[in-house]
Amino acid sequence: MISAFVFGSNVAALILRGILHPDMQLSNFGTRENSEYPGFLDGFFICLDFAEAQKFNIPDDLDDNMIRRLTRSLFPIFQDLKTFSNISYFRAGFVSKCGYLGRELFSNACNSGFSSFAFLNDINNDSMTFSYNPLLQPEIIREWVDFNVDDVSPLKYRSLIEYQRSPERHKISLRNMYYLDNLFFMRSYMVLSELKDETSIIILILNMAMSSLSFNLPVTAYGLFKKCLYLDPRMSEVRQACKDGVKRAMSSGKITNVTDTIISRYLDNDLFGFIWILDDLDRLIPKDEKDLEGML
Amino acid sequence: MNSSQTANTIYNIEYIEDFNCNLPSNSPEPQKGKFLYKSSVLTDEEAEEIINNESRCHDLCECDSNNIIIGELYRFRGVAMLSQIYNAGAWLVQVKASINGLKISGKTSTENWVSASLLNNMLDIGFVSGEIFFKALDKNKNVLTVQFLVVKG
Repeated sequence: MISAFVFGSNVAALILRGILHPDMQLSNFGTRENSEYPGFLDGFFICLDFAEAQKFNIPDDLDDNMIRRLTRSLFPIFQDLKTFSNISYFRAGFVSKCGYLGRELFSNACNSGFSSFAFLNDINNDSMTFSYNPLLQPEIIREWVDFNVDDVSPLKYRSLIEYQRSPERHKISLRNMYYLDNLFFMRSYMVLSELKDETSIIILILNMAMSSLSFNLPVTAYGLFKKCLYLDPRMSEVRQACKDGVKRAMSSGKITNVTDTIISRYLDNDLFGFIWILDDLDRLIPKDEKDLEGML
Repeated sequence: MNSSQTANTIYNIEYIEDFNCNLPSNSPEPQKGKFLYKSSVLTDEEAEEIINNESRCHDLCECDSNNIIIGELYRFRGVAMLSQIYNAGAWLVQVKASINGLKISGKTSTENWVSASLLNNMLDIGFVSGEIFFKALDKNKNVLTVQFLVVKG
């Protein structure tokens, strides 16, 4: 799982450097371990077949065609990684490192029928027609590319408060702050799950939910608050914060019976897979409630 | 410029040695246009027969798009858009074209394309050009759902 996450992070780094590799099969990549943190997060990533790689200017060259090509370049990886679990870890690494652009590319894959729903046997994926048209905001991508996101790591900031007070977080604009927080959260989850620190994981999920609510992702926020409660936090203030959060997310009007049913079904999923489902639910624009009901 | 002028001005060649155009009887057949894609429902011989027997396929460019007959075979020469899609747990290649206002769409299996790397390159640029043979399966308004049989480069 760590390797899929690291791989996603490294593929994102490739794209952020303005490199399009149209044939990203796993066999075309290798890794050499980072001596400072062996086997963890930032192992040296080696591209074994660079023959077809092309350079592009990021973000200036990101027109519809380039978005299509970048999205498609991820498909060989999905084919190789195969399982929902592997791809969800790849996605977590990719989206966290690539920020706004990474999330848009993953959402764009929905237009090709590739979403989290395609892996869920009890969801009728055929009934849903995704129509996602990314209207990229180049200035957000430019800031992210110029920003040294590698400094945002639990290896540098050992606690959430330490990270929140960090100069890095205060240097970035509000439009990218959600993505920077997301990067810190996801990297922290990798560490905490290795340490099996369940109490900290619950607090981390609560903070991810709060962040999603602030960023106007009510379905993601709702799902994460519910997951937090499902994990049965012992601290009463955490329980209360989750209950309050559920109410606030519901007041958005985007939580329907169908989304609630889907979320309840997958509460015990691994966090990264669950977040992928939630993000797709947030992105989904059903024609009406009946359209949504067709998923069940 | 006529052909004799061309011959006088350009083809000023001194023949060094004559050559024989008569190929030996055991030489291979001249290579025909390759299948870029061939549906798995066809054998090579059946595919060749569809391509070579013009009476078996209607030329789409000469057809009225309102009079497409479901179940019949059609062909056209031109460009078709390619995209990769994930459908029912499998990666497929969607092929779409637009001829005289008629939209043609069908899904193909990746393994039925002649070469994985060629397909990858075509998907990257987003289109294939050549002679395309298909069977009409269903027509809804101006969208014709088809089963692609052969794409010949």
